[in-house]
Amino acid sequence: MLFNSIEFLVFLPVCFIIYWFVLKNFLKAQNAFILIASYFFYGWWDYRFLALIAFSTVVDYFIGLTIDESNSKSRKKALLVISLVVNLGLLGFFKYYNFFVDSWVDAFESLGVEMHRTTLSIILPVGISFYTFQTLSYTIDVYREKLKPSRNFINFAAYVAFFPQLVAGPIERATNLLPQFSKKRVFNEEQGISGINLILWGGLFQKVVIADSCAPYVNSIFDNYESMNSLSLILGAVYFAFQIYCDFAGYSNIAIGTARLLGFDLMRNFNYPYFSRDMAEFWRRWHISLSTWFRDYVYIPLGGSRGSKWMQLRNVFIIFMVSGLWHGANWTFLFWGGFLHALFFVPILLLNKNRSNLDQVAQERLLPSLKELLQITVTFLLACVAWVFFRAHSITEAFKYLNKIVADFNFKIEYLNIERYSVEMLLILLIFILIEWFHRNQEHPFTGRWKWFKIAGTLIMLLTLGVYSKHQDFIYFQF
Amino acid sequence: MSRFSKYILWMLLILGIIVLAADQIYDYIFLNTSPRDKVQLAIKQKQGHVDYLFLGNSRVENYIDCSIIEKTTGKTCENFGMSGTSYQDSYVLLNLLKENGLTYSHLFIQLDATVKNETMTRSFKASLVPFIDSNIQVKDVKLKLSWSEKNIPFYKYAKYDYLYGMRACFAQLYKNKSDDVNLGSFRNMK
Repeated sequence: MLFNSIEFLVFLPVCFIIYWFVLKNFLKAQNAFILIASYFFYGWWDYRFLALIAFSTVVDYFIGLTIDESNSKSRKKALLVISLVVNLGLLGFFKYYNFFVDSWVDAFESLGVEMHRTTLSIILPVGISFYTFQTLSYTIDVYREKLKPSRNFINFAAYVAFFPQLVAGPIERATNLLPQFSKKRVFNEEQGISGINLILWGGLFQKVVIADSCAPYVNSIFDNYESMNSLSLILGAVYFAFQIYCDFAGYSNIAIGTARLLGFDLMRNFNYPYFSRDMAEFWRRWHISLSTWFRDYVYIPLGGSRGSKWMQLRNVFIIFMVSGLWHGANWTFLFWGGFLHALFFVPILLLNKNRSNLDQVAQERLLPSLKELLQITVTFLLACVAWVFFRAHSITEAFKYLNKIVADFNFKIEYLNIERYSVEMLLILLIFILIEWFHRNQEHPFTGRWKWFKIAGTLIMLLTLGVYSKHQDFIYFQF
Repeated sequence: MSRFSKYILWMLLILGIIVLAADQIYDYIFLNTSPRDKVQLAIKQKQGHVDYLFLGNSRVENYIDCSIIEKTTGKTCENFGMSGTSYQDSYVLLNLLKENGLTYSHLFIQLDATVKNETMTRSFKASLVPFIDSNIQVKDVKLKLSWSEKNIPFYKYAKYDYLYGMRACFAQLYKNKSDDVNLGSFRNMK
């Protein structure tokens, strides 16, 4: 079920009413209801893959308990390894099997060795990367004794399958989300209102107005990049930057908002990443739940920023490579993360500047300084260059795309095959950037004295600029 | 829960007002401005007599040059060919023209087995969207509108937003010239 679908528009109020009016004083029943609703939500897409979530849940539930009860360190370790093998094995099979087979065969064929290609028709279960990481965080935290294992199977199963964030995050840590299932929940009006605001802003405005409006321009430019001029190609990269940001941040905001309606607090996943002054700041603001997951479960265990510069660089490249691979089974993602973003990080790390921009840009000022503006622009352009690799079908195609920007050097406004001028989206994006800039210290813009005007303005834009006829799936579903 | 309920109700009220207002504004603009496509031309403009009337899809639209016909025969000619249209679309368009007073001596309808399609195309149906609520009667035309299209304000514009969204509305309002209303046609070849 998609958040921006009619089905969800019915599903959510029904859940809300049953949850708060029928099951109000019954915590166990509320949790069981969340579990049923979550399985229903996921099964709406493909019920066959429910077995996969259920299997993952059962395995990690019992492994968590056994780790806790075990006195032997080696036994605990063995159990953790089993959990890792099972979870990553499932993820690897569904997500990476064909990729590795193809890459293996291609590598041998390039050496002149003929090999039989045995790829399978595998459907990637929606959200597998997200809930796998969520369950992994549970077993690792239990192993590290940071978390007591759940002794309530319903609570644990509801935590793994919690429908607001099941298919595209935020990837919640067990330490944050799981205890919330054990506490009695009382409806908090402020929390509910902020949830609604997040759904309106993130889900509807960011997704339906910005991301879905950018989509046809991006598709048209990237699909015909060979015949496009420099201006269109630059715009294509910029549009994609906003498409993927608003698509994913929009999803996350609906997830957080929906969870709040049910009395849960999820972590923030995006914090105005395109106002970052360097790449380190960008990664502290982009897909925060994944970045911090990798930081805590990969980067720090590898040594983090301790050790020699060489070790630090190695760790950075490893974490970005894993992050790239997490996004998809394609060399373009590996290049995007494992090479480009890691490369952008190198000078920051060498100059010890990776924690120099921890505050919000232009704090207590209306406008950024010239230096800040320059830093923001450079960071955004670097991100756009990397996004070209993320969006392209192959690394070669991405290089050709970037090469054409420089080689063509033609900045005439083009009429695209979608019967739109290439620059038409810029005005909407400018409005969006201004809204974000003036509310960069808040979760969403619906605050202050003019709150209702802002809501009305958003609703007007939603209605008149939103895309309804060419429904777009959330990009991060494929990951 | 009362504050939360009030908040939701306020939001729904504002949304309701915006939906109604937007529906009215869009309707007004599309009904009261100069035609920007041939369907609007057929509905909005009082028709007279024409000697040669051509209907069909892009093959008619792009390859029948009325100026040559008029020059050669000395008779009047109008090309109502529209890109991507089906037989059903041509039939509806002919009815719209006739209802609006068009008479003709000779009618040429493109018959093409390779593009045979007896249902109304989505784009043609979309071009009738602004007139769904209006008093303009489209006799014998089975639009097969859904309940939502007929009864929910603004739904019709949202459903066909790519063709009749804000952009089209602005173009309509500011009377941007459109080649789509060129009845001489042959436009793409010029």
